[in-house]
Amino acid sequence: MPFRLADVKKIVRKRSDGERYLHPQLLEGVGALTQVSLALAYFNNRLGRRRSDFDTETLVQIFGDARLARGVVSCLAATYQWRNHTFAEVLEAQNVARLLSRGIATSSDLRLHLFDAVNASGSGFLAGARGEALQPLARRLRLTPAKLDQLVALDADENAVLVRVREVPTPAQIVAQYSFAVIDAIVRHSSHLELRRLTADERSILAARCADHGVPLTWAGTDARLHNVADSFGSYARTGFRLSRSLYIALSSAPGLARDAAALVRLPASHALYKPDKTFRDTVTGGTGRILVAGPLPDLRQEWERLRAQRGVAGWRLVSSGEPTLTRAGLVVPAFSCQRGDERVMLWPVSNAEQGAHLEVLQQAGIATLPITPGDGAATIVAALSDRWGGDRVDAAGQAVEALVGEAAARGFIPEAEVLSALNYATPAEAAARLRDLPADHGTYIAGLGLCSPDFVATMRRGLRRAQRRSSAA
Amino acid sequence: MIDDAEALLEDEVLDPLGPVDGDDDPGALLRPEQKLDLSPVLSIKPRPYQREALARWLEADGRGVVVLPTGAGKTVVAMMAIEATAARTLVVVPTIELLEQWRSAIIEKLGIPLECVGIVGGGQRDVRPVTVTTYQSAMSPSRRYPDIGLLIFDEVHHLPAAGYRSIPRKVNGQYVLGLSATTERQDGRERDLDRLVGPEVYHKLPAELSRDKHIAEFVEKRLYVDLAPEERARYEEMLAGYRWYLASRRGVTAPGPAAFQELIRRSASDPAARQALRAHHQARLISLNASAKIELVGELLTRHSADKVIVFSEFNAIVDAISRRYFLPAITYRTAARERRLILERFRAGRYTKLVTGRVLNEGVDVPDANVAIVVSGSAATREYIQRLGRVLRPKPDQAILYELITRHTGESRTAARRRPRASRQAS
Repeated sequence: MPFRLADVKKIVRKRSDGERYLHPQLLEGVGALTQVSLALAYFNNRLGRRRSDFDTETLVQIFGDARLARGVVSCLAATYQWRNHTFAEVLEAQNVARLLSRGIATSSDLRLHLFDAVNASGSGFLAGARGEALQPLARRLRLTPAKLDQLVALDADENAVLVRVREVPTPAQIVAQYSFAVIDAIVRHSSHLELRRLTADERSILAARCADHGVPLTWAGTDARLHNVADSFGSYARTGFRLSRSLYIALSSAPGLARDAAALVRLPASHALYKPDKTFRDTVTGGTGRILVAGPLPDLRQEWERLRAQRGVAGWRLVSSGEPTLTRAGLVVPAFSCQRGDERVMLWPVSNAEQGAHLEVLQQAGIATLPITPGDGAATIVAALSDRWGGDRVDAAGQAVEALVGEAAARGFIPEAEVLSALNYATPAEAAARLRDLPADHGTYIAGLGLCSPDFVATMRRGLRRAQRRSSAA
Repeated sequence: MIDDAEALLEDEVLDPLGPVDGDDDPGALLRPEQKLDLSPVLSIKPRPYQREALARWLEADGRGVVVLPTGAGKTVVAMMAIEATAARTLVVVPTIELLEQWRSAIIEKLGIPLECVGIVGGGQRDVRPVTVTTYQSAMSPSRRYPDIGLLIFDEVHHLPAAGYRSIPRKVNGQYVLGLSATTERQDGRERDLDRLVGPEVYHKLPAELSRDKHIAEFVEKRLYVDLAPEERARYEEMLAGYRWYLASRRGVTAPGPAAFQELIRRSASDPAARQALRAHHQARLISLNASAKIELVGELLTRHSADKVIVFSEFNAIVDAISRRYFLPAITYRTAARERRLILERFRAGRYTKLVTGRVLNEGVDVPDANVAIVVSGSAATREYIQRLGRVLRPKPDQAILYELITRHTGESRTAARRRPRASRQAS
């Protein structure tokens, strides 16, 4: 998700030449790594917890600045996402089947069913004490009132739970992503970008990339100026993605392109120059110096739409001109990518050895990439995607238990009410059933009491034995 | 000789747009490429005030704003304008939901063939002799609408917004018609409509149309509730924190919107400002969402158990809370498209008789009629108040009622007062 310019922490200073210069504030040093580690720990600790239990102020306090916190949260959004539970995740299979037989598969279906029932039997609303009024409705569906209440609001935003959809990134990776996102935001919000003293090769590469992406380009000798276009609101961000994209692609084959560059950035009430320094390339490539650009692919959009209308695309969505993404392998500029739920897969054409080598680098870095050979149509791609990325949902409940066990290890004991809330259970019986088989070295769940860490259990046992000894001695 | 000179003056100087006899036929002022190849005929009989509105608009050279309450048939005035000018038309609407609704109305009421009515927006890019589009699509630099003779803005109060104000210049229609239930904006930019569209040429108040039975007779009632003791204590605590910050910081102590904006600006880097802002927000939430209001909603629902009731709230959390407490069908911006459609269909059909909603149904959605509106909380905007009132104004035999629930001795009393006096003037 690209940053808004307003979210970029920056300083603007006037220099002796009369110009105002913009200096972005990047996350740097050991302190930044520690702050990001703390943020990661907070996210991991909140896995499985509801959105309403997530305190954004904690993150602001970690970073001491709301903009830095927002930026880091944005970088973490690729790994941690909010997702609502399905019926299958909070109900036993026979209950799911029974509701399905009545045409109820989601919270929305259930609400409509209940609105129908309330309107058919009364005056269009549930009068009287809610608990009592709810019972006949719950009984009709063979659910407890508490469970019915939970299911009705299962898809509410505040009931979405935090899940981890990818491997936990290292703090250094997040710092690199943050720095890239800051520089990217500045380039996107520039009214123009000047690249000076270009060689003949660089000029021809740049001209070709700008033409590919429809970026207006003017020349003054060997200096190039890439122009951005403001939208009706005066913002350059909407078309700025073309500017940044053509710059990155040009940089992949002309690495020295930005050695003497300047971008004019429009600020709310003024403007300022941003001059990339010698670390620019390192920053946009995450220190790898590598920019991997997907080779050209035929425009799949029409064929994809036809297939969607005729046979369906198994829930996959085709995204053209995917966002440049900083990965462990370097900066990746995809042509097309496909998305379904939490999965995002880059389509990578492999029609020559160089593209094949890039694919290998990406796959070694663990990036979901589908090789595309000439002649692969939409149907082949959908089949390959469904074959390799089966659409398994993240085990949110498993992650929640894992996070809870971690918390219990730190705190020693978590009361039952908190366990129920953290695991989104409506009744203690559900918690007991889920946690009964917890390995002893993870912790012990005691019904009516809560979740105890192994150390806490050992301490309790020792205490009980001492008490027994004392009472028998007495 | 003098007569000849006056005639010459009138023809050549005073009316450079065209010959005098063209004044009776607005279509005569259009270039050939701006004209429709067909003659639309309105299939319904307009009401007297709709005819009057069109006449005033034509008298103003086909440029201006018509203000009519919700339920009074603004769309019919637009159809009459299309019929009168027979011009290639662009209709600009605020939401995707309204695209299809306008297209259907144009086809049904004017008898224009389906293939002559296009939609641009919501994934469609189909420019036809009569095209319906959204403000968002119309402002896009890549969209071109050549040879438009008539430009119609539905809910024209949106037009003065920064991104949209370029649309009239870009489309450059010979005739421009703006429609709204109230043009008032909180930023005061409704003044710009005069330049963007034209003057307000016709304005009817709900009370006037209600008197003539064109819309429902209505009554507005304010009901007051008290904060519960614990709510009152929390409210005062939050307000004290906010006031303390304002009192103890130079530069943000001046009252008014500027001070609040300064507070927002500071909150990005100053934890104390952030805390003050949160305290202010919390206090507002407490006052607008007093628990007594939810109980009072229950009493009103019981009192109006045989009526069709729409409950409005400023906050989606309260919409959800009321929906869960009374099992009322709820519509917020988060409601999935299918659920929203089914709820509205069933409410329209009378299968559901109660509905709770947030701001999302204020405008831009064809909301089925009700006869009771309960405003649990609202902003200080008169426009929002009038729009909500409009939801119960469609003609009906019985009197419509609008209840406003207000928490005593809180900022909400002032908010309600700000929206109401002007609204009362319009309504009475």
